Amino acid sequence: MDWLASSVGVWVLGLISLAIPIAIHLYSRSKHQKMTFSTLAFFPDKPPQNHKQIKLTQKRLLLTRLLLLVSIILLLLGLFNSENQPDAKRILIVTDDWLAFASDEQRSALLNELKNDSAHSISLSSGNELSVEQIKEKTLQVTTYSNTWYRVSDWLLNNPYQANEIVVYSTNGMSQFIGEKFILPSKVEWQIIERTESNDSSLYLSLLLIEPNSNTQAAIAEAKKTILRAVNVLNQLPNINIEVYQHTIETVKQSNLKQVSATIMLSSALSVNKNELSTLPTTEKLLFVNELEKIDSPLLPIELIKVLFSRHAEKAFWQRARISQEAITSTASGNNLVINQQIENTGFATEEKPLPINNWLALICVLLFILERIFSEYTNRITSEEMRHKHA
Amino acid sequence: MSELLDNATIAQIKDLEIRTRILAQGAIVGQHPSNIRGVGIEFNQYRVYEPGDDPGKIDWKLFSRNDRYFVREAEKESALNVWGMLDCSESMHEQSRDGHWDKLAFAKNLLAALAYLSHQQGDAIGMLALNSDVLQYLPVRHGQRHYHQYLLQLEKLTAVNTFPKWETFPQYVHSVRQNSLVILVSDFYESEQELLSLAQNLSNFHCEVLAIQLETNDEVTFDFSGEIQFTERESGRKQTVSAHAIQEEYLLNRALFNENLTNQLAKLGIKHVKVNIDQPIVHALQVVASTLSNMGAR
Repeated sequence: MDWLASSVGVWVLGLISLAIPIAIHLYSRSKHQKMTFSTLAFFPDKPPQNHKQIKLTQKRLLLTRLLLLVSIILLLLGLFNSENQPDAKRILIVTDDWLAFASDEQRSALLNELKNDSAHSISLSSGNELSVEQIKEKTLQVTTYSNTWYRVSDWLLNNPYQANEIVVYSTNGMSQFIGEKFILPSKVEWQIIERTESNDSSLYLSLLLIEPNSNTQAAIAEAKKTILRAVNVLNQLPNINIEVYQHTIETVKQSNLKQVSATIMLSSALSVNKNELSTLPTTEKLLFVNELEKIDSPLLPIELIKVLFSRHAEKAFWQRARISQEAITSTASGNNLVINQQIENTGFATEEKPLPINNWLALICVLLFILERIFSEYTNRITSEEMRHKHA
Repeated sequence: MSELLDNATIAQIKDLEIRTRILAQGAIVGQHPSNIRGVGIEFNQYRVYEPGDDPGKIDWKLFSRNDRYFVREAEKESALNVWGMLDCSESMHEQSRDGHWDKLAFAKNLLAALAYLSHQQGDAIGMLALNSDVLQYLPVRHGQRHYHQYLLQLEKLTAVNTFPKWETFPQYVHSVRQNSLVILVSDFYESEQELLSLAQNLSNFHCEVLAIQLETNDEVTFDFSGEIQFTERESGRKQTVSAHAIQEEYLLNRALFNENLTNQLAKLGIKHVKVNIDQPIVHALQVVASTLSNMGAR
């Protein structure tokens, strides 16, 4: 809660305001009742001071008022803090791919956009604000894999900005859109750089899944299902054909399978006999399922890509692979559309965003206000009854 | 009828009338038989003689004219003078807890009720209302007209300042003679024993005196709380006290005051009655009537 410490002035004002109800209560305590009486002849000449009377009256009311003030102060400090946040109306989210492939003119156009004070450019990979230098600098054109839909969605769910407009700067490189597609929580404008190189050749890849000999555990079955789903997503990308072979150690020996792009053992490394591994078909990559378990399922297709496309020629394929702009921006794209509300069901490691503290404070304020009104009304009623009885 | 006595109050005090009649005619009047002989007989009507009537009451002159026996009936007037003496000092503005009335209003109603009873019984009624500013005096008289004047004057009374010193009004008190019943209504808050001086002089006139001390619940219980600045009604003196803290001492001082007052009045042969104005006035009337009965029975 750095913001609490950062606004010392508001704190001081808040503490001063706390003194106000205390002063009012002290004043009302010292303000004795006035009463006419028939005779004072029976009063003692030196009446004793009753110390019990010195204690504050209406303590409940005072306490409620103090708590109410504290809540309001904290609430205002929270609002003050949120007001200090970048109050951007237009957030420009830039992918690394865009920074690598954008032309000078496109960079200038982005910089022009940023001249407006309400516009901010954010790096999608780091989540930090981009400096002018970072935008101007051309980065190395290295193939990176990303699910831009997922990253943008994730950023939007956790973004601290009060953004009215969101623009995503990306390329139409297929490597930037590997994985399931998400419906974004708010409307997004896409600025896509059309990379002109095209790739007409298709890639044929093979993935071997080795299942354990014993009864398949539920966790293994779930992992297998997730992998197959990721493969399915990849197969929907243009010009990519991945064939999946499912065997046990015994059955793979009997098969004619000679070579595969990658092999995934659906068991842990400890439970596999090394001698058995030698009987497997030739494979460029071999990995165990427990290595994939740590990966969030939306990012699993990307990991599979890294596993399957290790060869140089296939990397070159990715550099030329494109996805249509319509496929990027359309909201309905068939089977691979994922709605945010289903994130939990798909096993994504997404954290539920906690209710902001300001909301809690506002709720407490309302409750305290109601309580204060009740106590105040009760105190007034008691006082007026006393006054009526004592005909002060 | 005066506003001081509504029909409901009159209905309630009808029962009292019988008891007070006994008091007036039997008890107090009976103490002074020699003084009432031949007094208060005023012609009312003739009635045909019936067996059992006193032959001495037969009007022989009328018999000579009509040749029939007629008995002369008279309206009896009591020889009792009932004086209402009312303390009209500022302290009589002390109100009942519900704010319904103050001591003065209560005293007015009480005296009006007693005047009504007295009037119904044929007693003469008179009034002396006192404060240091104004002295309202109404001599004792019989008759309906005087009774109405009594009520009218009672209604006009206001309470201001303090009770006057004895030296300022002895001539009015001297008109109180024997065969008088003086009902003195006050809170008996005095600075220089003015009320006791009055009581002492009344007792010297050999008349019956009933001292009615009016109190309020607030005065009796003093159940206040918190810091209160009290202002004395008559003097304007202010004192700020923690009410709860002084309650015990206040109640003790008050008890001593009442005891002392009762003793002093008893020495003068004056009966002392305390009446709480927070209680119904009929209750007060019953207490007063009961006390008067006891006084007459002595």
